[in-house]
Amino acid sequence: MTHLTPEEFVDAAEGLLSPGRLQHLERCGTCRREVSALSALMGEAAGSPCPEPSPLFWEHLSARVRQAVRAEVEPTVPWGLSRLRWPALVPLGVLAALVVASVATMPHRSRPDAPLASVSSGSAERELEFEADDRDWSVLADLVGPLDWETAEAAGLALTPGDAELVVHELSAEERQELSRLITDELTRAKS
Amino acid sequence: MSSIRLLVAVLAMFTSAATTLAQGAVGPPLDSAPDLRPGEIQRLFDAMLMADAQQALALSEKQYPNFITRLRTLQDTRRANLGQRVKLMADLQRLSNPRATTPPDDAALKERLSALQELESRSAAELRSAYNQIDEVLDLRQQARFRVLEEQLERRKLELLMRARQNRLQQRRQH
Repeated sequence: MTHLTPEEFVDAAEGLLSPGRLQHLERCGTCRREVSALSALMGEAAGSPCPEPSPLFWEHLSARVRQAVRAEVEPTVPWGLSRLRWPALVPLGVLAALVVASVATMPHRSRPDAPLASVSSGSAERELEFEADDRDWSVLADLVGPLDWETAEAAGLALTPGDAELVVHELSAEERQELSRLITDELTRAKS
Repeated sequence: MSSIRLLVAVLAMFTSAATTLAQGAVGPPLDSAPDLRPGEIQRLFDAMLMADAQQALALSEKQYPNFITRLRTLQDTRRANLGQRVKLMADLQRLSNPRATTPPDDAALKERLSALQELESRSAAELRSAYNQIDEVLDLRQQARFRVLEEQLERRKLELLMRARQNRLQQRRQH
């Protein structure tokens, strides 16, 4: 029987693994070690103080995870694994598992296809949602903290034009206003 | 002359986002933030790209109008395709959700996957065509610098996005 997939590792860590796969887990030492390590990591992450969230990690990296999943089922698409290095693979593996876990279990502030008009500002409900989202971000940001640009690029996470604009849809009205102020400042500096 | 031209271009891009230009060095109070649509942010990003391209590529008087027109086409093409892709990916996510209570609709999944493949092919062709159109206006060195500029600008955009989010978070905590 094949080893557990990344999604099944997350399910196993959360106690949601199907009985059939559970049998494999009981027999397979490799998978048990992975699940044990992932459980410990998730436990540590939940209990540790977290830095500020970043808009990069959710949109950009979850998109890359989706691409990786697609590439796995399309053998004609080259993985390019030979270019990856362990320093990049280790945090990315953890990150991929956490992104899957976050998608499956945590409430989201907004989706990429959500109507723009649905983003409101100032309401208590909106505030609560944001705070919950911040915690999601914090877990991810804390765990992938050592993943700098160079490492990310080496692992194939290079930015492509247009990526940043997708993140704009994830910002609140207040954040968009602050962003416009920052851009305006940049343009003023460039002009002078 | 070139600085006047740049100023006109930047001001034109700003017209639709005039309210944001009135902001001072410090952001407005949280409860008075007007709703700024993502499209307006995109126009500001476009202004950044145009301003940077003018400087980094050292465009001539002859090159500039053609370059700007073709750059707009490239941006419009990219945004339209990205928007469609985001929508398709959301559909696929919804249709293939393993935790969904209703059984998966295979026909709909197949149709969405087919649409995604078609979009990826069409998007690649349209983008290639848009880049070719821009390359026709630029010399070899400018073509290379334009590619580098686009990637560098993408990083700057993300840095600004992160700063905007952090600034607002700090402001909210101070209130």
